[in-house]
Amino acid sequence: VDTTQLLKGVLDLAVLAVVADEDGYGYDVLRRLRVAGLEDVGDASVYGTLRRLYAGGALTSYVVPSDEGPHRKYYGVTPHGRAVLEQQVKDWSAFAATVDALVAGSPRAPEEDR
Amino acid sequence: VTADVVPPQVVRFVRDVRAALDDLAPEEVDELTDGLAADLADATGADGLDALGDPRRYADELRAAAGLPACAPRRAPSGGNSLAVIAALDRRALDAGRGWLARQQWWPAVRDFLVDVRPAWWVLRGWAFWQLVRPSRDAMGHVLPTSAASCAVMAVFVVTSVQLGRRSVRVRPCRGLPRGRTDGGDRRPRTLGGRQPDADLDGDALAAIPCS
Repeated sequence: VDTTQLLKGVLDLAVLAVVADEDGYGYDVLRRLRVAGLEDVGDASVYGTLRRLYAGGALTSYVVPSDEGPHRKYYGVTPHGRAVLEQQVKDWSAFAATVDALVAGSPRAPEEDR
Repeated sequence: VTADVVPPQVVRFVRDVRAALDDLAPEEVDELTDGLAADLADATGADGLDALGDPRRYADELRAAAGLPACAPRRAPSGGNSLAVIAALDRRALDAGRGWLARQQWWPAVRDFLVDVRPAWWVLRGWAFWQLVRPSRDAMGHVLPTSAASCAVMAVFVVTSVQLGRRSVRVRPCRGLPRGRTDGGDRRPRTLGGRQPDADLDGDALAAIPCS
């Protein structure tokens, strides 16, 4: 299984879930995704996803200035984002259950069954 | 992890990423790269400067994930093509004013208005050029041509100007896909190419929206 393709499909869901858990800025969200086990996730993919979710109204953002360094852009989930997350969790659960059932039902490749 | 000081490599990297996105509207570039310096400073603090990689590829990944179409490599103006040269000069002049304009509160509203009336400006430009070269027997003060031949000449200028305008729009195919709301307030979901971006699990589908 090509995990980078799988990751692409669930990145919105994963990013929304992480931000819904607690507001975070780009690198913080990336770090939490990696700690959670999505080690191969690309930083630009995560940052771009944050921007798109924000543009779509699922996230809100605010800037936290820093005395010494550059400002950080934090993201939080909007009510709309929570609704999107809820729907995506449902979609994912149904999809994962379907594939699980499929895999459990055919322990061997179909060719070997004939 | 805190980034007290941004390493010069990160500053350079962010600048190169922004340069690779410069076919987008300035406010889109700002939105894509706002906070990036802090994020990258943290990343390099944790993983070293090798974490930076190639800025162009980074910009491509960023824009694809953000749902913006990948941009074809920009064409260099060729000496033989006056349309391209004019378009390039046009763009250079625009670039100079952009930084200042992008910082103005009123600019997004004005910009949206100007973009909407752009075809009228193309027609006006054609007419203005015709004013410069029209036959002297058309008395000054005449706003419109007085003879059929003069009318035809003006039509050529207007059509050329409009074509030039349409062509310059095509030169920047990636411009302004999800146009930001100008009020900065309550953001509602926008559709990208008729699809709900955040109800869509497939980032590729968004990235694949053709330039138009």
